[in-house]
Amino acid sequence: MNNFESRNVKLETTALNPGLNALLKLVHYLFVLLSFGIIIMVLWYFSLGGAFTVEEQERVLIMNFGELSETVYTPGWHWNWPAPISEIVRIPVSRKTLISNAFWYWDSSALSGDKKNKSLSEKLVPGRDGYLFTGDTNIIHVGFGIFYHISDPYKYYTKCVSPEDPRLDDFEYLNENNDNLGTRGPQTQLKALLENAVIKATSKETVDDVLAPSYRKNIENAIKLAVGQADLGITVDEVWYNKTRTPPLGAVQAFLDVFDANNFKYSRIEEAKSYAVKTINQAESESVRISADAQAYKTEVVANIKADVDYFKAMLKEYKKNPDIVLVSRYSEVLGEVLDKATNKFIIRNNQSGHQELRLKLNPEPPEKKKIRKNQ
Amino acid sequence: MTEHHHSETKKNKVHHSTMLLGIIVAVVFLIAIFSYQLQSTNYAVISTLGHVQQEKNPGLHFRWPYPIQKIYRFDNRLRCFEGNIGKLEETLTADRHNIIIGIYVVYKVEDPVILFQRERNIEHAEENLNSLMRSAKNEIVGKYKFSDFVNTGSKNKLDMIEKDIYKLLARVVLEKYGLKVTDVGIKSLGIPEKVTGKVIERMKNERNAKSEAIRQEGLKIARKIRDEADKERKEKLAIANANAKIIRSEGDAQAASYYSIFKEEPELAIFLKKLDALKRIVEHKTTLVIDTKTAPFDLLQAGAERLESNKDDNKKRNSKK
Repeated sequence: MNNFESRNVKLETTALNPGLNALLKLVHYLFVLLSFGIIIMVLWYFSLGGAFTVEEQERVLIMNFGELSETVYTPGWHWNWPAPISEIVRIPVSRKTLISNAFWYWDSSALSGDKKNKSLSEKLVPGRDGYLFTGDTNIIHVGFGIFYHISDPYKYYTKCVSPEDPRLDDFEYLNENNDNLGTRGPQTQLKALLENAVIKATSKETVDDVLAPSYRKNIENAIKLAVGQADLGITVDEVWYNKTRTPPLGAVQAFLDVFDANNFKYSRIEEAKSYAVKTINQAESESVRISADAQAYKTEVVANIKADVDYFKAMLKEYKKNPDIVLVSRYSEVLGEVLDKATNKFIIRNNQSGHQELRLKLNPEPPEKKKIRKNQ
Repeated sequence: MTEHHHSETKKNKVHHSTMLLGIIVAVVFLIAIFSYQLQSTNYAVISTLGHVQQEKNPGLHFRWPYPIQKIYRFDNRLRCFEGNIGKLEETLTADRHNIIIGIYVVYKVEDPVILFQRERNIEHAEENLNSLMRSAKNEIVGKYKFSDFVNTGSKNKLDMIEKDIYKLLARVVLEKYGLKVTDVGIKSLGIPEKVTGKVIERMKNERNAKSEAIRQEGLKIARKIRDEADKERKEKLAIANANAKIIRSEGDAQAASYYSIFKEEPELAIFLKKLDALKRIVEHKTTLVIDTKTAPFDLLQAGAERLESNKDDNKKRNSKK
């Protein structure tokens, strides 16, 4: 009976639903396929699923069940448990730029596009015009930029609140009413540190110190110190002027006048120095000439007297033999030479009475000069 | 019979793998429901049917599923908050000067339970923190003079002002909102608009005065350099002239030593010197007036054709006659 019944059921099943058989087969295959897929997924999970690469411009931190490991993964290929066991955090380490124009004035020409006609406002409006106070109560505008990089990725990520992906800029913070409450993140904090350091450093210096070249270095040192003390895992590489230092526009000309005055001062000093060098050199050369003249005089005087002595000795010898002839002939020779040189000679007859009058016009004006003047 | 047995074994295998798959799915599902991960950058407040407790340790933790337990996470890292209220408000200093000062506060969540119980979230806490910042700032600024904010060197007290604001804020903020203030800094420092005009005017006047002073200083220094150069020139020439005088006197002294030779026949020496002097004195364009007594113009006189000795002989003869 049992054999009969079972045979009947089998026959009934086979005969009743061949489609069901096909469906069962399909389910069976799908199950096998699903199992195969799960095996593949498990294999993938324990092999390639945890593989990741770190680029040159970034470092990677790993969180295992949320707990951050202090190991910093450097560029290359790495493996770790995939999510949800582990999670990787990519930290950018390439150089970044941060700009602060908090101390710059509002430029109306920026809106109109007319750069030549900047408004020379005599007043600065709080909240619109930014500026700095110097220690001697002067006002200065300046814009700063800094180059920085993340030197300690672990500290950077754990110390300061950052976007979910730290490679992105600071996030805008909104309240329940979607009002913007400003940004939050490391850039916001770094900017606050920068502006605070600039305010404090500038408020201790005079306006002349601020306009001196050393000011940038002082600010750089102050910012580096402030960021170092904050210990955010950030290193400031360089500080630069995004907008160069300037007094309020209304006072710019007065400041330029000081530069002109300085130029005037140093120009006069240089001229005086040049005069001093020239004068002293001339004096030295004059001194040398005076000394040489004196030396020449000495030589000449001695040489002359020696020559006179020699001449005297020679003449004396002849004089002793025949005094009158020597004297007269010598006298006549000299007189001849003298008269030869003289331009005008007047020989007057000796008056026996002893009284004689002679009128001469001395130093007549040269006739050549008269002609020249007439021509002129 | 054997065929039937084989088909039974096959069916059991299928059931085992199905069960294994089901168990895996169930385990994953249970873990997801009964656990939560707490990141190192977060603190958690766990609310169990209204009773709250905090969890600060990162990692995988057990939890009762929602709605028995609710998990609230708070980022435990530093936040920089500037606060908008009173940012452009004028504050009076101790010496009655109006200044406009903006500050920022760096804080982090220290006690998430207090924060959760009092404020529910960071946004509400920051609103109240902003009010506290404003009142603390006004209170401390009122204790300092304007010159404490802006002054050169050690008289500048900005660091001290920041520390005082920090001290006033830190304890209250921790007790009230469970937030730990780590730093307070000044982010802007200004004065009212009308005062800026006066400052700019004063700056201009100061600069003009300075320009004039610099110009005068330049002229003064230049004059001094020139005077010193002139003085040095005179000194050098005076020394040179003095030395020259010595050298000349040495020459004269040497020359004088030869004069004794002329003593042998002084008249001849004087005669020769006179001739020498005459030659040197009379140059071109000289006008000479000479009478006929002067030799050789005495030749122009009568009887000059006879020699002196013959003249004497004739005189003698005439006298004898």
